[in-house]
Amino acid sequence: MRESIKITLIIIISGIILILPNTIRALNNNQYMINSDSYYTLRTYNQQFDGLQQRPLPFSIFHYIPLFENIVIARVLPLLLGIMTALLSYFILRKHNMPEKNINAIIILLIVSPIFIYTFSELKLYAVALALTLLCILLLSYKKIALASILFIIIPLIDIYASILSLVFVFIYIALSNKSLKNNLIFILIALISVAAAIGINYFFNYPIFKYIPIESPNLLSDTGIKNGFSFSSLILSLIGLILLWEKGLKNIIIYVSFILILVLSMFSTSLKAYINMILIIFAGFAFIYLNRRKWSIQLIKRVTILLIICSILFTTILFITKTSNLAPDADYVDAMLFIKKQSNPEEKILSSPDNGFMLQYYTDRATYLDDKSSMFDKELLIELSNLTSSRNLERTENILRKNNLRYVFIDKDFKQFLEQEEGLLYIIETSNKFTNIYKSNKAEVWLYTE
Amino acid sequence: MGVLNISFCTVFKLGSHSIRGRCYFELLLVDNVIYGSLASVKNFFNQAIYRNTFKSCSLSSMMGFKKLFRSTEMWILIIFLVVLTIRLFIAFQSEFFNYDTYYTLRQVESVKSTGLPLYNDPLSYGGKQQILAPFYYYFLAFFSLFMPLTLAAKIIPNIFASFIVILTYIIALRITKSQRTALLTGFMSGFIPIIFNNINKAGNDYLSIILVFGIIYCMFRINERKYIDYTLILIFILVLTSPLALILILGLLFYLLLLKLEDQQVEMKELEIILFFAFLAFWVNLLLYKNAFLSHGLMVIWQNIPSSIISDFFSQLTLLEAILTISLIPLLLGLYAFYINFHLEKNKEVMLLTGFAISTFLLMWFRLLDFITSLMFMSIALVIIASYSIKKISNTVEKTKFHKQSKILIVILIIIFAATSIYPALIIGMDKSSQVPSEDDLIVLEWAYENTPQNSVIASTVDEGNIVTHIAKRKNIMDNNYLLTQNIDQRLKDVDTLYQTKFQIDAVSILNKYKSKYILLTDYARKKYNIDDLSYSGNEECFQRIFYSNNSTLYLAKCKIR
Repeated sequence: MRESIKITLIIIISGIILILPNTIRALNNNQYMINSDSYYTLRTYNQQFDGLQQRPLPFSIFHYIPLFENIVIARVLPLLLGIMTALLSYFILRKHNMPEKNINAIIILLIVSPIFIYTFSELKLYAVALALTLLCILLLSYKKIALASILFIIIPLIDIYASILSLVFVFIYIALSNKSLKNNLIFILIALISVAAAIGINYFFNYPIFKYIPIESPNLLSDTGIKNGFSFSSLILSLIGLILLWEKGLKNIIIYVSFILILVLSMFSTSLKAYINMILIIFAGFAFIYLNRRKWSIQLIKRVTILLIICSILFTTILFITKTSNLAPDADYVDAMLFIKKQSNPEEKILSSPDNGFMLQYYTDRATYLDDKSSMFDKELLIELSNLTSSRNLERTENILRKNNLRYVFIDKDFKQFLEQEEGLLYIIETSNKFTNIYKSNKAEVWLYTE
Repeated sequence: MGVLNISFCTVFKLGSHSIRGRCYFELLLVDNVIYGSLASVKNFFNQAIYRNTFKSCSLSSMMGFKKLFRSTEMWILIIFLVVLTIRLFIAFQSEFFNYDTYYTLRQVESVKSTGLPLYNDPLSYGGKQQILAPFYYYFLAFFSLFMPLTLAAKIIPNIFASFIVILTYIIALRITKSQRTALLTGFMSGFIPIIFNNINKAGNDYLSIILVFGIIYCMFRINERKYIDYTLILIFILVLTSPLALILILGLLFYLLLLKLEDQQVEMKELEIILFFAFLAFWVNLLLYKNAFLSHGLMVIWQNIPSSIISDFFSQLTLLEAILTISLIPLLLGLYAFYINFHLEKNKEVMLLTGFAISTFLLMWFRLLDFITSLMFMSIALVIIASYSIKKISNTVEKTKFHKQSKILIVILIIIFAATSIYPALIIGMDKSSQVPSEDDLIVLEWAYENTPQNSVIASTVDEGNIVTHIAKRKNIMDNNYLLTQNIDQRLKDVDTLYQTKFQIDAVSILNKYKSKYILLTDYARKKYNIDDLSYSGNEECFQRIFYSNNSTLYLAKCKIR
């Protein structure tokens, strides 16, 4: 197939896949962004300190570019970055003279991987860092050391945490592609210095980055229903590929062990998953082509196994896109949140599940008790949440509510399920006259706590 | 004589072995049996007398009859029928089932009425999602089209359990190439005591056992084309029947490890099937149990069983009892077979079974697999492996001066087996068949169905939770489907407290928490908690005895904590 046709196909297919979640939402009359980090990024774009949640923010040049306050840009940019990532991956693989069929398999597996779709369907800073890292790698493969170095300087200024991952991955690339460390010494030095400088800048702006490590609750597979995981089939294929491509030698053992360690650590970080996915799909692609090409002793088993792999990958992707397109918020949610904004005073806080935090902060312009970054900044509040939601003691509950100035409780279907399992707060809300139901719709309820 | 010959020949015709020598009237007799025509019978006699074949045919029938009973297939069929008869006899001692079966009955009823199992159960735990592999429920639902469900639930699982006899015979025949040894193995497998443990349980255990060992047999014959197809079919069915498919995968992986350690060559066909099976089983189970993974993470492997139940895992049976339930003779012979196989001669089939037995043992040891289920799988694997050592021993004996006494040795073995296994098997069977809800329990629950509000919650012991949902069709606080329930330890603690507490306020508080107004007190609960009655039930203002039948009582809790 001609190169131009292939590139066009990659652009079209990756564009369609990435645009699908939002398109399905639009077809369901839901024009609101999917609940994700994008709300947080948009809300804090021009701030160095999050006044709402009273937290420092890591330094990022994004905060100073007014273009990114525009929602349209916030939606189009991830799409462009996703397409760029797919194309860059293609060019990198081509540069390393990988067989054409392997490249095709790898690119397809990349485009349909849930973590790729999640990363590039909404605006995330680490997505920008990832795309730029791939560009650096491509430049390094063409021995454009100077250009690569200049480009890498920008990455720590976008997302300091992602830049550390970028540094590790560029090192892995240099080691795996048998490139001479001596030739790339300048690049390595500049990369190290730029990351160190960015850490210094963050400390200068009162953000001690090693104090706030972004650790999430562990999850791995999107097949289990989480929104930011790997596909089970791709993971198995990757393991098979790793076994097939295993080369002996101390250097390779170190690399493989590091790779496995990073894979385990990625259970606790979405951005790490996005990075490691780029390596996983290479092994997966190899494994798929090998299984397809290999002479099986039982042809029937071969056909059924290949079919099973393809079906499971497609099934995971379709399920993921469908689930993502149905995520909050929709008109009901937004209406409830705008109602809170109208009703409440600026200093009053909202209690809801951490997953709803960013969305609530964006639409209500009020602080929330918890959000997805609480595991970094407010670990003690997570423990307190458990006490709050499981307690049937009104006095104890009221103490916590008063201490944190919590006046509103926003309950959607997921939070209600959580509260029902905890069997504490919901009982108090429903039986105590200190709580009044001030808003109710199909998707959300709002309760007001009055002392 | 003629009538006797008719019945013998009918039996002969139905068997797979035909009588040697011509026996013209045999075909006529079969026709007679089928069409029941007196005229044909009369014709037959006339023809027989005319051809003078009557005498010679009756003689040849007797000889054929003897030959038939020398055939091992006939004997294995007889053993199957004997085991089935015994099992059904024991199972029908009570018209009721063990407590867990009532969950199965609800699922089958749901399949029959809606076409789907109960994935969203409005009654269990007050309402929750259920996670299940659906094939078995559809299977039972199919049979319940031809007979009452309660009958199907008694008969079908026991047919599966009895079929283990035939399956072990076939596998042992493959390993030993000796019909006599295989027959002995089949006989032993029919009377393993632990297999009688679930005699009144209509769960998918026995079907899973059949499928697992069926796949193992097909793996033995993987070089034959049709067995590849059988393997695929059985794998698909097993994966949709039970998560126990994962045990077999682990066993197969252990088998590969053993082959590697023993420098044996791995056949590519085996490797490919194992790869395919592993992929399919993991993916299907991931899809079926994805909500459980979301709720419990990796703890789903322990099925969210309350920690107090897990800690009592090994207290269900002492070591001696466990050995006796597996059966002493197969255990000893099985261990001897391990020794022969790993030190003297390598047999791949024995290695596969060994790998499976090891994986089951390890899963049991780490409490990842139910104790009874693990013992069932291990015991059958051991019986089959034991056939290998029986064959070896009998070959050795044949070479010695005791070869003329080999039959006596077999008889002695059978007698020892009968004493150590058959008798305990029958005792276990009778004991388990009595561990069912009493008629009074059902009367009380049927009353509750007719006289309590539809959305009421009835508190009961964990084991009785399923009869509350099935008979009374009311919500329960807890049953033995632990998955997708948060704070399971606390819930179990609350249920235990409800029966054991002396304080009314504790009981009322727990009942309010679970929005329950009714408490079921049965003999089972009394025995479990070692109580005569609920300590706080003396206060009629708070706890009213609204219905009872002999020793089963339903209390109504009228108080609330504000």
